[in-house]
Amino acid sequence: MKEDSLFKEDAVFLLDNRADDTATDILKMIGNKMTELGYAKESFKEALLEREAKYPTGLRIEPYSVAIPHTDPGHIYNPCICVVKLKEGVEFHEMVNTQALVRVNFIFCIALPEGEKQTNVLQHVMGIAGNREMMEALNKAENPEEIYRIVCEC
Amino acid sequence: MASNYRILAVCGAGLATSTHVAKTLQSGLEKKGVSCQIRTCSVAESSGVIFQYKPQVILATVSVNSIEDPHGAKVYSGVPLLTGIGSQKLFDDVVAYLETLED
Repeated sequence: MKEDSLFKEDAVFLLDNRADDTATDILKMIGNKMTELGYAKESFKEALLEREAKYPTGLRIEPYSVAIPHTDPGHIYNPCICVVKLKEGVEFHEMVNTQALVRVNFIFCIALPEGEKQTNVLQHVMGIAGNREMMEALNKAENPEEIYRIVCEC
Repeated sequence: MASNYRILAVCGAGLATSTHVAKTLQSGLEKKGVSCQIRTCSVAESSGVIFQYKPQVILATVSVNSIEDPHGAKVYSGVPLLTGIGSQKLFDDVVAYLETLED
């Protein structure tokens, strides 16, 4: 995952968000950014919101819970895993157990166009989310550059 | 446990969470000496696939309620196989369930 890393320096965010922000607020921000940066089509944001509402992606995992929002490949131009670290955790609905809420500190928004190998990407992201050492390093990171460097090390 | 069981993993489609979950389960079961076929599909396709494929076990990365009619298959959450939390228990549960099917 080194040379052809799906992590992009411009798609890493450290959000100085408010404690009362909702998952929708954050997903809108991600949607806008991904379109602005040329990774996703205009339709991406709405698709992301719609999909998260139908099939939530919050995952309760140690040490920090994460969400892995994504859409159908048709809304994507260029492959990218957008990484968002939230200053204040935001509540997402849990995957499968959709009535339950989980406070999420990190978001990995996986944006892949048609034909990209999706399974390995997911495995890679879950490998990071489940890696305590790496997640603690991400939690300490103070700027997007540092976050980018850490995720690329994996 | 010589039987070749059929496992279906269902996701919302797009990210192939089901493929990841299915492969993880398959290798977990193989370590326990249980061989199985795996198949994946989206929620939208699930009714038709369940009808044809007749899985004994369904793993879902979407709400279990969104699978309309499992046709007698036992439905489990695939989340432990994504997060790794509780995955051993899930392997044990699935094996124990499959064992009850043999007569």
